[in-house]
Amino acid sequence: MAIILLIRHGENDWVGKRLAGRMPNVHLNKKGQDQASQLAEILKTLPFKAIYSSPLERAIETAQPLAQLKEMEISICANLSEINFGDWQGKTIKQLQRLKLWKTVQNNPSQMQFPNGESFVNAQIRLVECITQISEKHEPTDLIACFSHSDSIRLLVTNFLNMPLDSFQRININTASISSLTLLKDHISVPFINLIDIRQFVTQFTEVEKKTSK
Amino acid sequence: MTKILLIRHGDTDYVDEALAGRIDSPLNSLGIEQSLRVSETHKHLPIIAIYVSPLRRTQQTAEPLAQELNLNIIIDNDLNQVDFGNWQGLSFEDLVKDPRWTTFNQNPALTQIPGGENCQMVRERVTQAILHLSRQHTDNALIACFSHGSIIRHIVSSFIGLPLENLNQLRIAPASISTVYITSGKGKLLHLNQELPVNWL
Repeated sequence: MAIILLIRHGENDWVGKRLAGRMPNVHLNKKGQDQASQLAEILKTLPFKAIYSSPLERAIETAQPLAQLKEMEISICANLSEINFGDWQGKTIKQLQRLKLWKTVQNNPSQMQFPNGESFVNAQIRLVECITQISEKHEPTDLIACFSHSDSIRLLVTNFLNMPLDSFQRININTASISSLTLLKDHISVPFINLIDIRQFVTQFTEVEKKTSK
Repeated sequence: MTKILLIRHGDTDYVDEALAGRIDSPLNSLGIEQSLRVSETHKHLPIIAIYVSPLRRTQQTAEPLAQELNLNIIIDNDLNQVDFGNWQGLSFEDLVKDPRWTTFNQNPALTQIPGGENCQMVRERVTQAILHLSRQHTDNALIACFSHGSIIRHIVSSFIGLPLENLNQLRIAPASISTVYITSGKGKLLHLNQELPVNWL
């Protein structure tokens, strides 16, 4: 039982271009580092009881400024990691968009099994188990930060809202955005999704437009 | 594609105290402050139309932005608050004594608001209203709809495929912004309950 903030890692050079997946050595770029420091500034007054992170560098690097300010350890959780995209990992988005299975990812993700990787179904189970275990370790009023990835956060939000898995692509998660879950015994709620720095609000509209028109 | 900002009206004396429903309560001083903040944040966005519910609190929340952008405020009756029938005007303290209210909050599909609107009908009304607006404003147009907590929850859940029974797991704070993009009738949720300033614990 806990209040959980799900925070996506900051920008890196792969975002929107190539599927980084679990590749090692994908680090935050300058913008990502700035986002991580801004996040720490925004969040530093909150009474966190624990900070968890995916084992990937970009998530840990996003968590570090907050952990430093709060003088807290980052607990690494393998199950908060990105989807195992198997053979798709490292490919450019352009390459992947040409594949037949790309449509399955977009329209029927519940049917998608990444070649030599995970299915969204199994990824969702792994993530939900991980968050449930974390929340069970804590008191209902404990505030927990979990640094993770776009698809992982969307799969979690989808599960806890009881949305169909096939609809998970309908939720948008920006880099360095904050979403939330309150997991109580008799009530689960999602107080907000994809909270971003309000100064970024205007830029967001132009960015998504570019992405959609591609 | 149509981009729709769903903005809840600012604070009124009813918020968190009693169920205003369609009672035409005005913004209080905090609400007016919030309406200025909404205008401040949105004035640089290319909003081309502003729709409000017929109630004064949504119009008041939209006014500063409409002035800034030099846009007319258009009243859309389908964005009106749920008709809460006999519950309208009751304090939340009184409402929790009614077991139907508890059931309604756990799963609005399982109970009928006494003398009020059926929740399936609400969902249908607001879904059609948003589809209608999205057909009117195409080509990536950005529009703003000022409405009510329950209505915004219904719109968001309808377009992300959320079952009716999970409606109340979403939070929509006064003067918060939620954003949906509609493409050929399908929705994408950009933000849920973006509050200004960030204020959620």
